[in-house]
Amino acid sequence: MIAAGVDIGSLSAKAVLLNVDRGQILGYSIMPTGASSRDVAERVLAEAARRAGVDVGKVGRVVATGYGRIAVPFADRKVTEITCHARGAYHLFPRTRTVIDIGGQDSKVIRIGKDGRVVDFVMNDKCAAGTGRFLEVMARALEVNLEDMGRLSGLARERLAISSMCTVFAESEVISLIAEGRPKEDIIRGLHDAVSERVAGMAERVGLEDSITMTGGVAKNDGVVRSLEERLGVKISRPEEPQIVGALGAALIAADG
Amino acid sequence: MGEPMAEPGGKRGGRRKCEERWKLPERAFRRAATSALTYEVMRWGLALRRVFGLSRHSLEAASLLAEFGLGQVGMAFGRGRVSGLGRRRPVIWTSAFAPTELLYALDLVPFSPEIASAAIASIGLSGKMLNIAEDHWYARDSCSFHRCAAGAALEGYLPRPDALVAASHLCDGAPKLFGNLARALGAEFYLIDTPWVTGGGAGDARDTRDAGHAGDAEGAEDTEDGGGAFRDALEYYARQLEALAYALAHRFNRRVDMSRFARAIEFSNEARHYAIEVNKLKKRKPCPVLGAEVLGFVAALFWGFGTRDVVRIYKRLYEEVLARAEGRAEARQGWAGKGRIAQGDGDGEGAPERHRLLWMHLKPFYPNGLWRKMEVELGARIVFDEFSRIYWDEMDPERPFESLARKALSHFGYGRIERRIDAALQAVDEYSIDGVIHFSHWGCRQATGGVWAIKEALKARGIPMLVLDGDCVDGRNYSEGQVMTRIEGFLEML
Repeated sequence: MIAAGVDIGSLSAKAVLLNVDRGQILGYSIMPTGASSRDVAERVLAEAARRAGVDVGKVGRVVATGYGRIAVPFADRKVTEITCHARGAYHLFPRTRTVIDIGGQDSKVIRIGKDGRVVDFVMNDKCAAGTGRFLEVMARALEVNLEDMGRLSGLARERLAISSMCTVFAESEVISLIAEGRPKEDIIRGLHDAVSERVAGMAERVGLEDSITMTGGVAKNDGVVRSLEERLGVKISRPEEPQIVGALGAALIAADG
Repeated sequence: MGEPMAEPGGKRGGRRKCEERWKLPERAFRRAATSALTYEVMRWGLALRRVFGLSRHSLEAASLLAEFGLGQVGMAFGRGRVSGLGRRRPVIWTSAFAPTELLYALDLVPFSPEIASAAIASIGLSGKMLNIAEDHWYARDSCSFHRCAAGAALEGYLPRPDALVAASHLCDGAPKLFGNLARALGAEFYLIDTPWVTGGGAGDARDTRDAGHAGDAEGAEDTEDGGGAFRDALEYYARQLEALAYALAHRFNRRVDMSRFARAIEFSNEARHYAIEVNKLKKRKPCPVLGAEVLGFVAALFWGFGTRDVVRIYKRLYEEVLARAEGRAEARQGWAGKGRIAQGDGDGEGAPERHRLLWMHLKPFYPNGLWRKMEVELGARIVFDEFSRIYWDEMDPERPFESLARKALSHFGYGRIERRIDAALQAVDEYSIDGVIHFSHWGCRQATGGVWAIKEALKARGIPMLVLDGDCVDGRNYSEGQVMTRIEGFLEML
């Protein structure tokens, strides 16, 4: 049987197809969520099926997660991204006790028990500080590609502090730093430090426990991960494709039946 | 930040609908909202619907409570000309935990601006009042119960006070706001100062339980170090109440009639008795009443104790919940075990009780689908909430001031955080709670200051706790999708 997980996030939609009997990922896809969760849910699943080389009609159970989970009409069950990220991360790294997930709109720290169950979690409050959206806005202000931010911050020479946590104010802080002639690399590193400071604070609240897995789109940013590792004094595991961990968790839950 | 595409909970139109409903010309609306007649008509409407079985409330007691509230507001606006015998009755604004028994004994009309804020929020108008308050320099990080009341007061939407009485218990903000409003509205301000006792006595909540055991106040007097300090505090508080009674009597031409005080205390005791019985019924599995159906009774606790009406309300509540618990046919089926749930705007099958939750602090009062979704759709029942706790001992009608002082100082939120923790742990045991949600109301220092300690204590017992940041009155930043994700994630964890 084939099970599917569909994760409709605020910025991107993800789908994972799983062979239930072999516990193997058959295929996945990622695309921008756009303006309609309903449409993208169908498209992202069809694309994952195409990549896996299977017929969408063959997909058995579907679990939807993410903010748009409610708008996935064909889902058999809807599960929050908290449970799904924990499940996915635990599946990939069974020693995981803490999951740090930074997505487009949300950042969260989830603590999981030895059996993989969620023990506690915290999410960012209603603010984009410390999320993918925060970095996206800053990338635009700096006229760099989001994907290049990690690499560029590695070239930083000086430690700049971005003190504002509000995305709008931080953006104007960045613009002032640009006006002062500060190198982009230093500013980007400062931004990464601001994100990691925020997330480390949340980790502190739930109580950090080794080992740590990072998921979500921002986990692709080496700069943020490096900054977090420095701040927390730990090594962080990252899946090959951190963006699909929530969808993977959803597919695993779907496979449970 | 982008709004989520879809909001779990589905009632996204709720607030907007409410605002549209009130799209009357400003002057007409104001005139209607500040007229005693409006409230009298509404009260009669409710009463008629109740009598003819057309009430939208799933509990008759809730309808009685609403009628009581409308009656009080009508009286406050009409100054007794509509409800009473035409005699002018002074309106006294009171903060939560100010002893209403004392005011009723003096035949004064208490009015609670904090409850008014909750009511304003529930009809979707708090945003407007908050904007007004903020225009008058009330900071956005202050408590919205107070900010909304300030806005409504400054705009003339609340009945004019003849005097204001605030207790510095539990909330530090109330005396400041009341003092400020007294100045702005040209009324007299009375403060009941609540002393902080750090000794064993007031810090020990061992016996502040519902069942009416000897309260910790009693126990406190036996301890050597805390006892003396507690006795002093009690006396200090009781003397203030006595002085307040005489001051108000003098100011408003009333007589301090001890038999009236005794009667108010007796009513308070009776209401307390039924409230305890209702709480006992909530211990049953499944819980015979939804949290959403009974949280509103906090208004009776802050506003109505000391009246015959509130005795009647709690008695009716007890009878109705008992009838449900016993599965009697005549029970009004708001919710009957696995049966029908009729909550305001729609009937439907509800989920059976899956989780038994303790709610700490108050809930959002602006239109939202939160509790309905939790309790009805997800089967996560709010079996008990912190403010339903009857924390004080039966009072002595012969010694009203001392009794009321003792009541105030028995509160679990007064003194050391251990009292609140113990009260929570006790509720966990007594009501078979499997998860706790603390709604951290923005700007409420007294409630949120101890969250960490409460969470640690619950963790030691293996009880998970979700800390939800939000606002009870200010819905301007509310996003149901975000809140529901946290709640659902928490329920999946349980």
